[in-house]
Amino acid sequence: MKAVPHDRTERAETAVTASPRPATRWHVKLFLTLAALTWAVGTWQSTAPQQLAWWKVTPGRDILALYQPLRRHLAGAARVDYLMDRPPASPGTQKIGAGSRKQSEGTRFFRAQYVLAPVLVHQVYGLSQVRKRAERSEVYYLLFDPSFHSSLHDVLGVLSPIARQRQQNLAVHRTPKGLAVIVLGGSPP
Amino acid sequence: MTGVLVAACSTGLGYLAGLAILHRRGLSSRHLHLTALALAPGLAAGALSLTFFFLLHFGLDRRALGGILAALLAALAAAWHRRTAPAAPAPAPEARRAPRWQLLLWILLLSISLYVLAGRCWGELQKNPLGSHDAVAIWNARAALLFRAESDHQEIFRRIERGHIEYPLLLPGSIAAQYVLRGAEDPAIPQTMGVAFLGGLALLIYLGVERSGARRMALPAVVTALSVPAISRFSFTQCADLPVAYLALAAAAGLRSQLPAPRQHPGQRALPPSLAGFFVGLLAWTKDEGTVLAAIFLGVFLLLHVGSLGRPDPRTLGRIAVGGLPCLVALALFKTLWGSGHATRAFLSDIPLRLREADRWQTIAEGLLCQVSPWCRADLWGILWPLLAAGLLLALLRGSQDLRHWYLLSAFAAALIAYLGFYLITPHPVAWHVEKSLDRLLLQLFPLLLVWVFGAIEPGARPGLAPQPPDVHRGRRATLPETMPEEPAGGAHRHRRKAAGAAAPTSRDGRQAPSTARRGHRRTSAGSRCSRPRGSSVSGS
Repeated sequence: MKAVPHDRTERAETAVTASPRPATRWHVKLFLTLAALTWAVGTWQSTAPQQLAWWKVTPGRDILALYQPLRRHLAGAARVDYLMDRPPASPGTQKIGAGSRKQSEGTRFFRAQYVLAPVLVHQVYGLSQVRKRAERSEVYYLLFDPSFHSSLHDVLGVLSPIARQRQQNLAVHRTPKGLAVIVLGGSPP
Repeated sequence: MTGVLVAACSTGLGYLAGLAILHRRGLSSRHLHLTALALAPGLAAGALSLTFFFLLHFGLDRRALGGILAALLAALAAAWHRRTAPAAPAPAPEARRAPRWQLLLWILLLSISLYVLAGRCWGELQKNPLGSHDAVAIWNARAALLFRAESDHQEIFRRIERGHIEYPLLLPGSIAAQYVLRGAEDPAIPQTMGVAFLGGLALLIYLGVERSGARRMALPAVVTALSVPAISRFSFTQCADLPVAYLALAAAAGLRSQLPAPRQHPGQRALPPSLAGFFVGLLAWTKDEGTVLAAIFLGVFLLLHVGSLGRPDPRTLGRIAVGGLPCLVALALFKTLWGSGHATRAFLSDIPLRLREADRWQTIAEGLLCQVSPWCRADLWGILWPLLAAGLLLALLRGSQDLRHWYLLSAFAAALIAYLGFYLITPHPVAWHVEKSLDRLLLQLFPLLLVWVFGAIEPGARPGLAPQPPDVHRGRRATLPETMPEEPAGGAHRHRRKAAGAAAPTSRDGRQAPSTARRGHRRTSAGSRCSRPRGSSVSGS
C-alpha cells in the first residue's frame, strides 16, 4: 500500500478541522487605531522644536566651575550657609518660589551643594537669620552669590559687629565671578 | 566610557541575579531572559544600595563592596551552573498572534520612537549632564557626599536628611556604590542608570501585557508608552519618578502573580513571592511616595488574596515579608538617624484646618483635568489619557469574574485617590504643589493602567484568564474557551508537527495539541540546556 505523504495528510486534516482565523473584533481595531494615533501625537510632541532641538544643542554653562574655586576655603567647614533672598512664608513651610529667578536661584543652590559636598550647604533666608546663626556659631561660613543678592556690603555690615565684639577674624574669599565665602572666626587663610 | 561600563556591569549583575532566581520558575527560555533583563536595573540598584548602606552604617570599610559583589557574582554563577532540577517550562498560553503586516507596522513605529528617544537622550545629556534640578539637588549630590566622605558616615546620613527628607537611599546609594567601584565620580553612571530603568520599564510593560493573555497587544503597549513625551522628559533628566514607576509596576506585577486565578497558567506565577516583596520594599527605599504605593499595593493584594482564598495563605505572605525585610530594615535604620518627629506632628495637627478649605478641592480637580486633557498638556502626555480612558471603558464592558484581573486597576485607582488626597492636606500652596508635582505622580502610575488596559482588551483570552493548557498527562486536549482560535493552518503548524514526532500527545480527533507541539519543537530544534528539564518525558527531548 502506497504511503500517504505526511504533510499532505496534515493539510487535509487541517482543512477539515481547523477553523479560519476569526476576524478581529471591532473594539480591538478601534483601540489599536487609537493607540497608533496616540503614538503619532506623542512622537510629534516629542519632536516639536520646544521639546527636541538636539540637532542644535549647545552645552549648558558650567555653573559647577563657578563654585570649584571656593572649595579650598571650606576645607575645615562641616557646613556652610547659602544666603537666599527671601524668608519662608511661615515656620515649617518650605519656601515656594515661581518664575525664572527663583528657579535659577534654586539651581545655583543645588549646584553649590553638589560641588561643595561633603560640606553641607544650608539655605538661610535674610540677613536677620544670618545674624542669629553667626551669633550662635563659633566659626561661621556663609556663601554669597551676587546674582541674587543686592550687596555684599550689607552682609558684611551684619557680620562685622559680631567679629569686632568677639575680636575674631572676618575673611572674605571672592572668585572672579563675584561669588564669595565669608568666614567669621577660625584661622586666617 | 568607564562609567558606562561600570553601570552596564552592575545591571548585568542584576541580570545574572534574575536568571539565578527565576530559572526554576518554569519559564520558557525566552521569558526567562526577558524577565531577568526587565528586573535587572531594580535588582542591581537594590543590591548595590543596600550593601553600600549596611557597610557604612555598621562602620565597615566601603572598599569591601567590590569583594562582596565578587562573592555574590560567584554565588550566582554557582547557582546558575548547578541548575538543580529546574522546573519544566510551562506551556505557553494560546494567545492570538497579530497578522504579519501589523507586527511589521508596530516594529516600524517602535523604531521611530527609539530614534526620537535616542535624539532626546543625546540632547538632554549634552545640556544637563548632571540631570535635572532634583537629580542634582538630591540623589547626585548625596551620592557625591557619600563618595567624598571618608569617615563618620552616620553623621553624613544625618546631614543629608536635613534636606529632602522624602528620599531614602536607593538612587544615591547605588550611584555612590558605583562611584566606589569606578574609583571616581562619573556622570555617565547615573545617566546609564536612567536609560536602564527606561529599558526595564518598557520590558515590564511588554511582559505584563503578554502575561495578561494579550500577546499581540504587548508591542503596541510598549510603542504607546515610549511615545509619551513625559517618559523621555523625565527619564533622561534622571528624575526619580521613572525608577518609582518601574518599581511600582514590578512590585504590582509581582504581587498580582501571587494571586490565585482559575485555570492559571504557570508562567503567570513566574515571580517568586520573595522577589515581589523585595520590589515592594525597594519602592519604600526609593521615595516616601513609594512607601504609600507599597502600603496600597499590599493592602489591595491582601483584600483580593483573602477574597479569593477565603483565608490568608501564611506561606505566601511570609515569603513576601522576607523579601521586603532588607529594605525595611535599612529604611528603619536610616530614618531613625534623623527623625525627631516634630515636623510630622506639626503637619498632622494642621490637617483638619486644611480640609476645611473648599477651594483646595476645586484646585485639585482642575489640576487633574488639565493633566489628562489633550488640549492642556499634550506636550507632556500627547493623547495618552483619552486612549486609556477609551480602553478602560471598552475593557470594563467585557468584565471579568476573576479577582486577579482587577488587581492592577484597583491598585492604580487606590494610589491615584491617595495622591489626590495628599494634595488636600499638603502644607504647600496647593495650586503650586499640583502644578509642580502631579505630572510626575501620574508618571509613576500610568504604566499600571496602561498594562491593565492593553492586557484586558484582547479578545483572544478572557481578561486575566489565560487559556487552559492541554492536559498532556491524559493524552487529550483540554477544553479551550470559546473565544480561543484554533491553531492556524500553514507551514509553521506543519513544522511543529514534524518536530514533535509521533509520540506527542494528540487530541481525540488525531490532531496534535498545539502548545505541546510548540514545546517539542523548541526542545528539539533549539536544544537549549536551559529549557530542558532533567528526567523530562516529553517527546523530542
